[in-house]
Amino acid sequence: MKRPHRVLDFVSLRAWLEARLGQYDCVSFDVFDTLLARCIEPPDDLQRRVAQLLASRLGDMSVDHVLQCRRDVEWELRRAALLEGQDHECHFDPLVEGWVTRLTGSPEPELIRFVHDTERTLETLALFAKPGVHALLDWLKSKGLRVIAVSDMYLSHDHVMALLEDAGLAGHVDQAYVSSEFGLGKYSGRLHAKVLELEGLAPERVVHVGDNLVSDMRAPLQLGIQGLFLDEKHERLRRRKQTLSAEMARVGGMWPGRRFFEIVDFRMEHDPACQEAFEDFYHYYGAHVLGPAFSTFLMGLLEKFKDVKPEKVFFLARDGYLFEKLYARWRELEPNGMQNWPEPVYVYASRRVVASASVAEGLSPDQAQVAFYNPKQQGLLSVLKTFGLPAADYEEAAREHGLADIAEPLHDWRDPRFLAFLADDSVQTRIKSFGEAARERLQGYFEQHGFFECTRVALVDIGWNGTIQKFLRDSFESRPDYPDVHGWYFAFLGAIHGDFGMGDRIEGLILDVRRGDPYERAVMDFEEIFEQGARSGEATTLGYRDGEGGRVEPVLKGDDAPDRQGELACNPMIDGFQRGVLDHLGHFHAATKLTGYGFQDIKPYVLALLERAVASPTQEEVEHITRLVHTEDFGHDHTLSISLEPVRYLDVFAPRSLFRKLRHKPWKFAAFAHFGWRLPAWLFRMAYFHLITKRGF
Amino acid sequence: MRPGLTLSVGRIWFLSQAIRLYFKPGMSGFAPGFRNLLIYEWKRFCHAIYDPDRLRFIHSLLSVPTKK
Repeated sequence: MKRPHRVLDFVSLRAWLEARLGQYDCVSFDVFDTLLARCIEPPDDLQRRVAQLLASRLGDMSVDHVLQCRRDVEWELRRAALLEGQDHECHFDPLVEGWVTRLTGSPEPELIRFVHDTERTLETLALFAKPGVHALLDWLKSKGLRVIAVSDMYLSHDHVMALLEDAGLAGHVDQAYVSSEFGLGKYSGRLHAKVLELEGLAPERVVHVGDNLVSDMRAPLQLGIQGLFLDEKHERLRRRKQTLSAEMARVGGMWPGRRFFEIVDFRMEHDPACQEAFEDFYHYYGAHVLGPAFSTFLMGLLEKFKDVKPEKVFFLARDGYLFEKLYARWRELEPNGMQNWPEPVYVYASRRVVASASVAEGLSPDQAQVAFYNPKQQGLLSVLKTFGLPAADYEEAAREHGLADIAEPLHDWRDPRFLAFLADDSVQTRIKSFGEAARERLQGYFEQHGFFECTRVALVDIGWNGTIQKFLRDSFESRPDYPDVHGWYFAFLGAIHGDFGMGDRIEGLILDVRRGDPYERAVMDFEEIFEQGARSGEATTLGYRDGEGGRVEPVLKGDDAPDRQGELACNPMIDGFQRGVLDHLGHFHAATKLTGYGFQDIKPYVLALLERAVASPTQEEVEHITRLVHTEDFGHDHTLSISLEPVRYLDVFAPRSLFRKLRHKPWKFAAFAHFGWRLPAWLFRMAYFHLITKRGF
Repeated sequence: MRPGLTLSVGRIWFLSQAIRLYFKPGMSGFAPGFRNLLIYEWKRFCHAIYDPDRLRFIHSLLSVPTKK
């Protein structure tokens, strides 16, 4: 009898074989967990997922009942095989036929095909060729050795070959032998004996490699085949860890999400294209921080579409740009699942253009106050810019009301000079005339995109205050054909207009302050990164003009504007983020198919990822992200620098100065990243909570 | 070292404590729960130190007769 051997990985396997090249004619491999690895554990979860999908198709059956029927049929088939003198193997074809018959009373061909297709799709999504397998098989072929695959599996030979093909291994394997086709298993040695007979090989000329001590080592050794135990400890640990995660996912809370992203992480690690792209920090950050956040937002959005069924979804420029790309990508990934879902429309509609239209009936102090929310506001000038009103036309009237310098910051929007200016009839007449023209063009633009032809539409954007939704309503609600508008945003703060009476017609899916959930708050502690990550490379929309054929065309800010120059410089970084997010989405989609988790299952863990990224960033993250400049496109032309000086230990002794240093910085936690340990950032997080709730930090 | 997509459970617990201690929210959010954290880490530790496959292999070495 041959001596047991083990190899720790494919490199040592090659070394072992290289030293014994002349001794063997054929190398036989186990398939699952040897050549192929699964990104989801335990494997039984895939059967449960098939049962889940079948149950939802059948409609009135519980998943547990459907799964139990499968197990019953499988057990009967295995028992029948034993009675016939075979090993307890069963084949997928009679299993599915028996399963469908047990569930529906007849072997419905459509359902049988559905189960076959579903199992095949899920297995393909779950399986990968292990790193190093391609190279090893190539080398074996180059040495003239025959390579075969031998598997204890209920799937058919063709099914296993298709899986090997999907993993890119079909061309490397000369033949596959599957226990279900012969009714014989590896564990008994009978399948190995059958393979020797069919291949016409002497046992001493064959080496078999696998991860199961009984099937892949002891049984072949007893036949005189050299059995090699593939002893990959890290793989076993990974499988056990994933099995433990699956067990913990039943607890709920953040656990299902953690399991979900463990799967996504494993898939990305085994995607060579991703690994190469991750050398670029921005791509990596897009795939690991913004990707989970935006993909989860998309998942929530799709669930809303299913419930509310809007006819069209309007992705609002500029921050709706990436969301439209994600939606289009999802449609490509799921061509059969989207036929009744809304038609996407990307519209150029900035807060500026809807604000201009909203003054068609005059500008009230209440409307005007939105301009004062920026710390760098320039009083009346900011108000005029916010609503797109030409400042030169109002300078004289401003002087008459005591505002000699229209750029003078006003710290109270009820300043008597400002109120008198707005109360001036001649001012309001000019404002109304400007607003009416703007409203007409905005209306024409939305009409040409079919906004008023729908009964129900959705607006999708990064969010914050839902300003565009509010101004659209203020401008056009009086039209009888104004549709039922639902605004679904990444985050909704409602800081300027509250929810303006929209109730559940406006919602922040990742953050909505009305929910009062403090675990969601990381998003609002660094809004700029999400805006930057989602925005288009184009400039903001300043207005509309009449184009060819009577069409209304958007007018974008010129590239020569100083803030636009800053944006253009940042566009390559934004592009890196967005490529990362799109890469993430492909793997996110696969994990969704494999687990069946929904938005609420994974959101808590995504909030943990965002809390980590915002409140406890790494030095590398700070170095790269603070290179971005953020632009305000609502009445201001400044750029907001994200960079800041790091906090030192001695700053603790000058709390007032520290307070002033951090107060207007968009990403305060970045100042603590250089400490190298997490406690300072954590303590500042606590202090920050105190400052924002008690002192309006 | 980049944090990646799979944060350690201990780190998630630590991050959640700032929110739990300050806001005392009536919801679990992303807090894993201290008991769950202990269960998870204990099982992970057991997996790391106890490797039945390797022990069985050693047993095979001892029990299979060798031939020169």
